[in-house]
Amino acid sequence: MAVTLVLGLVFLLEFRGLAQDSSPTEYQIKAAFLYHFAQFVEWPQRAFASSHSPIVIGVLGENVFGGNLQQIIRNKTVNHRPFQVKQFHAVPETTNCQILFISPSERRRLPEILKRLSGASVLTVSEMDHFTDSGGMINFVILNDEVHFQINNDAAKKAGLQISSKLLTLAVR
Amino acid sequence: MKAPVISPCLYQKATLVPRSQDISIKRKLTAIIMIASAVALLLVSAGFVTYDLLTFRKTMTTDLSTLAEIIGNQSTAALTYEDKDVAKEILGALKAKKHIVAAALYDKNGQRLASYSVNRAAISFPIRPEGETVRFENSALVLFHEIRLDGDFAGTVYLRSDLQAIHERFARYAAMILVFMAASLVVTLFLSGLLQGVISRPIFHLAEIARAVSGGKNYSVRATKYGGDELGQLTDSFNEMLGQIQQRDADLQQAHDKLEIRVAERTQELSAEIAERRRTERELTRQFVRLNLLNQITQAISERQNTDSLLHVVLRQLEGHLGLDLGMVALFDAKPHTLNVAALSIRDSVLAARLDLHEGDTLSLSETGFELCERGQTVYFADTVNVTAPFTEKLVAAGWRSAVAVPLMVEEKFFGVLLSARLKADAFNSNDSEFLRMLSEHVALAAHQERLHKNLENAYNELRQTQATILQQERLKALGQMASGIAHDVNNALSPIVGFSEIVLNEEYGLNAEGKKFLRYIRTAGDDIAHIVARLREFYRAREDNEPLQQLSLNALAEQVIDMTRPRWRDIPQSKGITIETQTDLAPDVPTLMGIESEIREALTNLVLNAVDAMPNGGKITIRTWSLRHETQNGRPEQVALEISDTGTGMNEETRKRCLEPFFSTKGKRGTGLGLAMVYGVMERHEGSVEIESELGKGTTFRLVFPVRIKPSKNEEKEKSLVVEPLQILCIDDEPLLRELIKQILERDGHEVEVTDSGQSGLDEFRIARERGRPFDVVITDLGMPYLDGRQVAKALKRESPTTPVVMLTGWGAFMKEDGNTPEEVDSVISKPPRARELREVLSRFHAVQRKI
Repeated sequence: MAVTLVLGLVFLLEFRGLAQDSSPTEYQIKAAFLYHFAQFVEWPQRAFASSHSPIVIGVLGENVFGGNLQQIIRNKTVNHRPFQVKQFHAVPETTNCQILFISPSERRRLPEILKRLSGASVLTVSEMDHFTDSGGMINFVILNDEVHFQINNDAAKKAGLQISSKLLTLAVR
Repeated sequence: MKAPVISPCLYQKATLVPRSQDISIKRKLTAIIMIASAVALLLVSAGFVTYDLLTFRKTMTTDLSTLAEIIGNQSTAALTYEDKDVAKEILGALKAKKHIVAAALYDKNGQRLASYSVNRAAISFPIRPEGETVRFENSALVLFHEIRLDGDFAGTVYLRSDLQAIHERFARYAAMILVFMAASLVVTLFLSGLLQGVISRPIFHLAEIARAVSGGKNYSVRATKYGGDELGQLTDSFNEMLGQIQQRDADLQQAHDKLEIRVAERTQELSAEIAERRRTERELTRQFVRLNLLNQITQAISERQNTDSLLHVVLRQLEGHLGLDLGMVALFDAKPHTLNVAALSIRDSVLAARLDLHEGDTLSLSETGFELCERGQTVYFADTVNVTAPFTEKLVAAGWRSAVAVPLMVEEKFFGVLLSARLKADAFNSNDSEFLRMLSEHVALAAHQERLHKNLENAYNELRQTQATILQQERLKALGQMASGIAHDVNNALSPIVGFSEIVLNEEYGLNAEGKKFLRYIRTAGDDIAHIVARLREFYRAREDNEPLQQLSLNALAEQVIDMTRPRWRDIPQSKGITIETQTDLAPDVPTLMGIESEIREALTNLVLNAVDAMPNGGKITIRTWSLRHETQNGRPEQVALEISDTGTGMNEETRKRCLEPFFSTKGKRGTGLGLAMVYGVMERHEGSVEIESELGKGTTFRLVFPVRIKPSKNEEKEKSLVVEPLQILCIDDEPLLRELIKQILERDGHEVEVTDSGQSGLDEFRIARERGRPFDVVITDLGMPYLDGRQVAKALKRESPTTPVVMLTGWGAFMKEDGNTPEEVDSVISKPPRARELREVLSRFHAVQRKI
């Protein structure tokens, strides 16, 4: 799927190092989105081992981002916390992160994954239909060739996450 | 503190705008208070408003920054996720802030993500955002605020606020200040009205008192004191001053009264003195006037050469300065013993008419009553009524009652009277008489001097006229000599032509008829030339002894000439449409005179023709004759005059003087210039004279004056027989042609002729012939020759042989005789060209003489 020129321009500088291609790919954009979510979401104190613990972005299932995610978070901090990307393959590992991207490859295991994560302060992100309806928190959708997202704030609240109203206003239904 | 500052201010203003001085103090005070209050209020208000507006600006800036902060914060997500709709929505919230006219969000790359404006079309947004900025520009407050998210630059907010708030605030303040000012000024006006009375009332009071004092001169009033302040002190001083003035006024009045008395006394003394002085002064003035008059008269006398004007000046001065009613100067004529009124001055024209005396009237001295004057005495008629002389009676009749007659004497000789008269009787005092006497001496002296001067002038004029006449005569004589000289030379040259033509014609020499005819022409032409030359000579030719003088009548000649010249004065001009009249006015008693009729006729003809020429447009010629009887002893006229007048163009003075000169002509080529010269010559020969009167444009008169008795000439009968015995003749002439001519003529008459070409050779020939015993009977010699001239030759001949007749041949013939320098040695003179007949006549005379011997 091609992305719009507008978005492409926005992220142009960030992805210059990643790809020779001047226009950012869909997953480059989505990787950036993931990073920025950290800026508009507040985790409870207990979600982190210490005040310096990194924000861990976990990818469950197929790594659709490739190296893009690594690229984005390099040298970035939010509330003095650095980022860390982890590749998960098994569901139980997933609680050790703050943001979990559930690849579409894990669609069939979704109820199991969500169930496993209930009670954990993990921001679940995916890109599959009815993700938010199924108890997921943020779901990427493509509208008019642009990357948008849906938010299920109830789920986030249940997990003890506070999503900034600013971000909420950006979400599509 | 303020008063001393304001008063010079007001003063200055007063000098600039004089009218402000006249405003009442009350008003001035009110104005001062009002102006001061208003200025203070204005200053305070201005400070307050300025401070408030500055504070308000700061507040506005802060508010706008806060707003930017809020908007930035709200839009971090929208910026991060590039959500235009959301960004727009956020900006849309600014609608609530009505001063925000424009707003925009720029992403971190500087691209405008969303914008907002109250009026979409009117606002242009900055293309690129700026850094953190707040500034006022173009009636707007502009702000750029950088948005940061976790320390990262996320984008920029742009806000633009209008200054409506400030303006509204300012307007509110202005209205408020206006209202407060108005209110407070009304209050101030009210208060000042109450308060200024404290100052103005005493001043008004003072002014009123001062007015009362100066108007009514009442120094007893005093001003009321209102308090102890400066005005109170002023009132005290004013009252004190009034007191002093009151005192001084009283003193002054007293002094004034005293002074008045003294002045009255002095005035009396002075008026007496002044009267005395005036008297003296009047006397002095009169003396001065007289002296001045005398001086003026003397001066006038010295300036004037003319007795008449001098006398008039004297009388005028006398009348003016001495107050005469009549002044008269009469000059004495010894022979008829009369007085001639030379100058008369009468003040009143009515009286003058009554007196009927005029300048130029003659009075008998004995009738005037001034007889004593002749002896050098002054005559004074105190009252003319008491005098019984015809003249004084006349004065009385006309109204003059007193008179002084002063004699005018020069070198003890009485020559006139100065009479002064007044209307009143006894109106002259001794001073007047003395003065008139003194004056008369001056007048007499001046008049006498003038008379001498006139005599001298007359003598001089006569002398000058004589000189001019002599000059004219000299000139004519010189011209005559010149004319004769020319005639001489021409005659010399002409002699052979005429002579030889004659010889050839007489002898015929085998000439054919045509040759003879031509030769006759030549001779005739030669004769004509001789005639012209003769006319030239006429001008100065003396009357020759042998010319026939006739008894002739000028009247008859005049008639004759008019008849003869009729074609010239009537027919020819008539053909040109010009009319010339002639008139004769001939005195019947004009005696006959002795003269050459032909000459006089020609002279008259000349004059008539001249008159005709002088009237190109017609006119009148008058011929008059009359006898001049004056200074005759036996009652017979000695001179007869004939006058020819025309009414022609006339001559100017120059022409009149020169018209008698030969060759002088105004007729150009038509005139020879000999006509009038001939007339002059004729008159000279008749011992008469020519007088010419002429005026340009009026005409000319020629007057010929002839003496009646002319010296009778020895008019011998001419010998009719011209046959002469053959004679031995010596002919001396340096001109070969002339020599030959004479030889031919004489030889043809049978004479034996010997010729020589010079005086010396002639004398030699003469001696040789005598020695041979065959002396010459007659010697003919030319006058003008080189070395030894004719005169010397004649002298030498007479020394050797006194009885031998000598004939002088000359071109100056006539002239020699007149000059009186015909040499005694010469027996006869023949003028050139010598004609055969003339030669024969002369020779026959000698022949007869010799016979007698």
